[in-house]
Amino acid sequence: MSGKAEPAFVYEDPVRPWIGARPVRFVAILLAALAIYAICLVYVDFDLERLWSGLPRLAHWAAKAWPPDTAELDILIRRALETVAMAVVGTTLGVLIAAPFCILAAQNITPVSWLHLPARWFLNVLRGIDSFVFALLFVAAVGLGPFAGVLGVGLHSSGTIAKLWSEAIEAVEPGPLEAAAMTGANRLKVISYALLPDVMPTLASIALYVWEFNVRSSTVLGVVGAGGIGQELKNSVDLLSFARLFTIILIILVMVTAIDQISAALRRRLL
Amino acid sequence: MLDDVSFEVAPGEVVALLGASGAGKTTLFRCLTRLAEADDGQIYFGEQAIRGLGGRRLSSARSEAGLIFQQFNLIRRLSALDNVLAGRLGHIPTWRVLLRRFPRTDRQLALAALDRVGMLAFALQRADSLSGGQQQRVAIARALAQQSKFVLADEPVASLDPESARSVLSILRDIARERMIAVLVSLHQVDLALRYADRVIALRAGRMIADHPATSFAEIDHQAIFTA
Repeated sequence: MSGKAEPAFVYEDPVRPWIGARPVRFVAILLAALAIYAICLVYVDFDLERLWSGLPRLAHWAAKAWPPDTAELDILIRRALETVAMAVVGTTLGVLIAAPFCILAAQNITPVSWLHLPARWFLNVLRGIDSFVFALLFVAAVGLGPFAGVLGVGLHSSGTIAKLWSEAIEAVEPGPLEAAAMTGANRLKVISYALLPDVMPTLASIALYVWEFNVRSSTVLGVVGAGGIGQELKNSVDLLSFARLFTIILIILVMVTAIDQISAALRRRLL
Repeated sequence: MLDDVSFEVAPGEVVALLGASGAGKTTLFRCLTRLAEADDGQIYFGEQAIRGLGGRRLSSARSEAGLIFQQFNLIRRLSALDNVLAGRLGHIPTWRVLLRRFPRTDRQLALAALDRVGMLAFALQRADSLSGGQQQRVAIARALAQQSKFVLADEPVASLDPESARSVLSILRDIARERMIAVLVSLHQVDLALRYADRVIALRAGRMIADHPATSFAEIDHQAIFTA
């Protein structure tokens, strides 16, 4: 005897239909997805054969990249610091532009309620144009160098920062703001006295996060002549000096990792 | 939602507003402060008619009433003292608010208000580190600092333990007497209403079904208010 008593009632497992309740729709969606994939693969010229024939060249370059060329290490490090500085100044510029816009774009505190959607659209335009594209324009307008990069980073991040800030502001509990307004305080008083103390840590954390992102995106701005380590990166590729390129990539990795850690540590202390 | 609700609260009097959830207590409070608009009727703070006011005049009329909320609505990251000073926001110029420079008289007023509710020792403690009962006492101090002649308290003890609830209500009753403040407080516990209020008004489905001194409240009223 097993010693197990037979249960008085046995439940039947409910049957799960394997492709949902509407098989025709499921197959149609599946086919549509496959078709879109096929079109995309054709558009991008996906060709494994070319990758295969290019591999030896890559391997050859990789072999030439060792040992890393450290002859100009001091210049490269200075350029890396230039990239960090571009991100610092660019993000600060973005913060200054974002500050008034996030108030306009936040539905719960906007002083002119019909302006909140247009403000949002304008921010989406700023956010939609990449720092890289802005930098391209500014290199043409103000000349080569990191200043063009700073302007590009500043404009693009102002859109991102203002959008994230206005969302953080909209997520604030309405009660304390209402209570402050009911004591007879005007909007400016409510914003400065009741809202800012509440959201300041979140806003600062968002700015730090965008700064960290900007360090990463600034590494390529030099490719269009907008300063920083990217300029050296492009020179090395153009001259096929792979040992130097390898050094640059290592510097970027160290820099980005360090900035990520610093930013993460600061944000942890804020929240 | 509300229909034909009419009553007065005299200076120094505590009126309890009783009603089951959904009876219209919160709607009534929102109408009184114009956070919601009534279709008809009028609201007076003293001589001042509230309905029809707008902009700056509405804002200044509102500042005549101190509000107490169920969720306290303190600014979480500011100290108890800063929260009480918020009661002075309507009385001082904007630049002083931006720079956080409150005049000495206002600071004195705020400290006295904190002292009155027994929270002076916690003046510099952050609001979100205080217990619920302590936060509600700070909120009362904010209303005191406002020097309002009317206090509207919407379910002020609904989130508090019985001990804190009693202390909050007795402070409300005492300040009404001391400063001749008219206090309207909504509650859903009959025993608290009878113990701390002078008069009881009952709402049911948006209508007033009782308005009489707390002493003549009867069991029949209790059933009328809370039985579906």
